[in-house]
Amino acid sequence: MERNNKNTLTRRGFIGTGATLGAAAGLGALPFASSAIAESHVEGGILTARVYADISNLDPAFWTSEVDSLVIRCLFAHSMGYETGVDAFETKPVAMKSYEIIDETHIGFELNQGIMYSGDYGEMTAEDAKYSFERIADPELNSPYKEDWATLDHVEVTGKYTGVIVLTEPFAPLFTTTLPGVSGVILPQAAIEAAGGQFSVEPPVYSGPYRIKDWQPKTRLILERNPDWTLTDVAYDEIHLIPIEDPKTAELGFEAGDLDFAEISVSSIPRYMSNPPAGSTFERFDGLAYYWMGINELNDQLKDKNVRRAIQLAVDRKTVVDASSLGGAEPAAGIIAPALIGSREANLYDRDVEESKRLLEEAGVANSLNLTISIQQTAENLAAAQVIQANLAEVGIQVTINQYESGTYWSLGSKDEGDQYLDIQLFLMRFSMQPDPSWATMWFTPQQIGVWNWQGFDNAEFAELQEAAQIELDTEKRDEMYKRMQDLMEESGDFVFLNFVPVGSLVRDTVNPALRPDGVPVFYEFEPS
Amino acid sequence: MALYFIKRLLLSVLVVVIVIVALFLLTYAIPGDPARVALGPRANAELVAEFRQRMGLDQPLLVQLYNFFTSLLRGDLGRDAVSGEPVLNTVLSQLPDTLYLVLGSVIVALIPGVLLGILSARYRGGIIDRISSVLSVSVMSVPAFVIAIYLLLVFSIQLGWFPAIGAGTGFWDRLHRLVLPSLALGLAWIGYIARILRASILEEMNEGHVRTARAFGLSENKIMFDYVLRIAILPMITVLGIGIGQMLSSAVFAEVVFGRPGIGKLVFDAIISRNYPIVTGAVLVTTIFFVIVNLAADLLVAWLNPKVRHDLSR
Repeated sequence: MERNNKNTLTRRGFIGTGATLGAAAGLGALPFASSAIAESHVEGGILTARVYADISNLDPAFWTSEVDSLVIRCLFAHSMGYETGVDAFETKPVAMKSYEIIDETHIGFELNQGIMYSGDYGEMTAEDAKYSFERIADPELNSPYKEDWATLDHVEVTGKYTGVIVLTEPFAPLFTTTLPGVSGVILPQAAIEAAGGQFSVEPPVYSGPYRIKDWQPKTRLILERNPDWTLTDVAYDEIHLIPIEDPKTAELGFEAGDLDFAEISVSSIPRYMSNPPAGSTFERFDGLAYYWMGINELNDQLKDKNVRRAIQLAVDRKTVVDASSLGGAEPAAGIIAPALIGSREANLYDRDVEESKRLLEEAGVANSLNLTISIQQTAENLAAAQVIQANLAEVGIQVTINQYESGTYWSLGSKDEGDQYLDIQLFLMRFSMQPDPSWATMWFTPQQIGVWNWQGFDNAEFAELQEAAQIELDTEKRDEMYKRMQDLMEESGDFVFLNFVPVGSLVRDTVNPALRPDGVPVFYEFEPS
Repeated sequence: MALYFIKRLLLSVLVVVIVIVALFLLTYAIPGDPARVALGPRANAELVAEFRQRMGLDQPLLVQLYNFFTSLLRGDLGRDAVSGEPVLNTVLSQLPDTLYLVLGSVIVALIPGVLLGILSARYRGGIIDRISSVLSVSVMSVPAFVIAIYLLLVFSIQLGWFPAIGAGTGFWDRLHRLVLPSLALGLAWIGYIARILRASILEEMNEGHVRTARAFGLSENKIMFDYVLRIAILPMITVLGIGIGQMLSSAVFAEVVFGRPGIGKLVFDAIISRNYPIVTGAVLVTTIFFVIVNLAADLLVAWLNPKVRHDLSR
């Protein structure tokens, strides 16, 4: 079963929907479509699912991986969540019952009543929301996620369950990734302080649909139903999350019947799409993660923009993508996926071998350029690199493929490791994404050079747009800004956009999964079918 | 004998120290930043610096080494760079699964290996000897991870007899899930043990005391089990001591392919994520285990072999 997710999540659209509903309800606020506290129904059973890594930090201010985020979603009540089983990114209520846009910097909210914390921490209140949001924004805590609350001034508590988020400036990602994301988790101050101000893998409190029953590091994480959770229905008594890093092992485990749900490798997508294992279905999603070839303009041999442009023009992106995904993906026109605002429809430059040769001759390096392409050691990367190697050989550029294990690879472009960030030339890179375009572009500002901006891409207009787009609430203007930013990236000659990484999942027929439009599972909403 | 034990013990401690120092030098030399891995992509420079300071990664190598050994004397192996959990807890939680796997592999290797070795020697040049010879070389030359994948495809996917991943819970479930990984690791050693035992038995059969036993008219079975095997088995104990070390290092393949927890996979993942405290702690524990096994093997040989025992007592 293939799912095409081509709709967009826009703040205006989101607010518009809420406003219509609010007006219809005559409340003067923006209630979500469904905020009634539901009775948990008991169906029992165990869901066994593969996750690609073990948990490492469950503190909403310090989580590190997508797996942490998936588990945090099960353990703690978020302000909002994403709809599952739909084609577009839409948010829905979780802890927040409603919100009201007072003006661009004041957002009123009301929490659901009756959300109970475990232990003696009582009921969730607006004071907890104030503490949780301000905690992540607090410079003293130095949370890696403080930018999620970049323009938060403070939260004003107006009642036991009501408050106002006060911003210094408008903040577009607030409704797309901050409140529906991990930074929107609400926790009680007393519990966090009792844990010493932060925690890692032993939560001091639970407020979500599940709680940890047993954790055997690197072996399994068992979540059990939280008896205090009454906000939504929870189908499974237990969720067993098995960390399996290698997707091929997970595929074999699923085929042998050991797993109910498993995300598979990109290269296996065509195979499972045409022939899923008996008793299961296969679902394909257009992921948000993006894959590209970087060209380091700080390297002596690549300083000339004509040389970089020649490389861009020489690469046959369609063939590269076909080779690396075995037909599972299509070439991309940028780094912002079609499901989001700011997505481009086409690239500025297409393959042109003759023009590429001319530019190399103009640069005085015709048939004399020897370069390296650095990749992480995977079959997909190697296939892509080999096609690029052949493409560049056509225009007279000799390319050597350097393969690295991930630990070494991720240090190649780091200034902290010395001058090697200047030596890296071509490289294949993949970044994960959240459903807001700012997450795609934030890594390519001048401040990120020698950190995550390995291209050395240094563009003042891009940096200004990055700042401006975050506080721009007009969707159309924002859309134009992000498109322009990708144009600037491509014009620099530093990027060859390859594809958005598709997500494929195998699901046992006995399971009705709850998957976001990008294929990310929301385990606590899974049900037996 | 006591002096021999003390000498071997001191040598074992020296081996552990050398391994740890070498490991520190190696981890210092390879690129990669544990702070970036632990804190995620959005950590700023200030947070990264704070993390390095907290973990002692900003200290010179010799200071880190000194701190490690002084902590070690207090029984503290440090804290996991990613989760912050005590390293000792993490390592000890993974160790049993690897030990079960190694034990299972030893059983897989030992029982058929010894049987084949005895039969090959007893019927030297016969059909069993020839089949054993061909099978031994064939199985020894196939890497463990290839055997693992084929076992998985045939017995888990096609036939559905065994689970494909995980270590299981409860005795029978654990045992059920142990079969294929143990076979994957142990199969190659069957031939090895069979060939060594065969050669050792044949050598022993030419010894004077065996000829004397024959001259007294003792049955071949009595000679084999009471006179030959007691001595011929000794080289195998030493080989098995080394073999357990090999199995420990090969365990990583079985653990990755079968999605099992264990020390091998723990170290593998920790190297990838540059989680140095885990790498050092896990290698230290496995080195100690390996050294103990070899020490035990040497002492066992010394105790079982009358010649060695006699030499040591002089």
